[in-house]
Amino acid sequence: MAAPEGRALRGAGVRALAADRWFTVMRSEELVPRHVAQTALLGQEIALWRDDGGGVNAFENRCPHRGVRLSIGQNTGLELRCRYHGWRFARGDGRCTHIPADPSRPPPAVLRATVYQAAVQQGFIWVALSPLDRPPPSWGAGAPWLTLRSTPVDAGVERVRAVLEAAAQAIAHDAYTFTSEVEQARLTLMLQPMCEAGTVIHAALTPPPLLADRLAVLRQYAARLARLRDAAEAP
Amino acid sequence: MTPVDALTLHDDEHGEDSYKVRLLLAFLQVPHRRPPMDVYPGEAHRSAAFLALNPLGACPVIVGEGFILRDAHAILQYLAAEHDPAGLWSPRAPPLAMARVAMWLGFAAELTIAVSAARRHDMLLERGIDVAVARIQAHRLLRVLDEHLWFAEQEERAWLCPQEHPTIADIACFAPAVLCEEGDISRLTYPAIRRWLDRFKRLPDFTAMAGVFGA
Repeated sequence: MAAPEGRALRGAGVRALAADRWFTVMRSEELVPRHVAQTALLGQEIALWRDDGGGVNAFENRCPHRGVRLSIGQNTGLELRCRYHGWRFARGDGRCTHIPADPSRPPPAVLRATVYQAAVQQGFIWVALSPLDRPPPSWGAGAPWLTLRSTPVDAGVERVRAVLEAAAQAIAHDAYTFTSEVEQARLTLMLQPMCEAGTVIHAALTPPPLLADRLAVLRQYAARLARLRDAAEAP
Repeated sequence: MTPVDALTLHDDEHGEDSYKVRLLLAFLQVPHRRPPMDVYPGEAHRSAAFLALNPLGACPVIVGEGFILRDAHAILQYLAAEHDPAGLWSPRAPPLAMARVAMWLGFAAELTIAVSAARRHDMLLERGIDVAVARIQAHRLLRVLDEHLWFAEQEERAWLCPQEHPTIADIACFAPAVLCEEGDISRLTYPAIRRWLDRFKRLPDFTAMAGVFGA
């Protein structure tokens, strides 16, 4: 967020509210191969990466060795390699597989990156900070939809919620999911509380428009969501 | 062909604008000399010898056979025109392609001013900089850049301008965008910028600098 002071995201307060649920954090197609994306959920920074098997990994954005952000590291396809001392962490369980300064023996099994649960559902990547035994929710009974551009907002989730309910006449299905009926379509909005002063609005449209109209529709909704963002950011 | 000593670059190892010129010199493999220049803490850019090359006291400057050229974007345009006859890095036609590159060069100049102020404030402890204003301005621009690049991806384009090949506009925006976190300007909310930075770093003959990592 545009929170200039301090590198740490303050959010322990928000975190206690909703650690045991799934949150959308990114459109799945944006997590491209051999890339490490950076996001945050409830004050916790996350390094997101797709391994060469197509699996999505969500690691705490902090190398267990010296605390450097893993999001500046390298996605080797099977491992996430820390930029600082080259420690590598395996896809899946995050176990440390290689320490360049000590190549003679395998790293101890207790060394691992903190891994969060991640799943792909309806074109989005979902992350849960606490282990959950249920899959992410399926909105609109899994009907096909067009995932729209996600809109970061420099405002807390309560403020964004208030704007959605007032300005967009959106209906709340739960504290983080809203729908709004627009021009014979349904807009589903899913909120990602990043930190106390930052929220991302993820959005999808059911039914999807004709392929020929896709770009125009994406632009139209990006502009619409930018207006909601501006309202939420207004002093 | 240019003889090895025909072109001399006077640059600041840590500056965004100087990095732009080093990037294009590497992409185009232009032979050149680069005498060491102690900008910080030596203030070599305020010496009489340097002010004779550029009275503005700013890097970079290139000196060639019978000419002196300052201003990073002017140098990019010159190098592309002189050393890239196919016009891949800086198209000479059609008119709109030229204008789009110029438009993003203007954007890059604004972004560079904001990022440079924040970096000098944080890293060199330079006084008299309103760093809050600089960061707000940088975020305002980065938000526009991220949205532009997101829609470029939707149209299956990788770069700022519609060409298949990156242009000097990408170079001019890349330098401040890749260095901004040194001025505490986070890229957390700019995922499309982060993907574009990765694509750029994977170009053949990409050159890094202090604080810039490979992809």
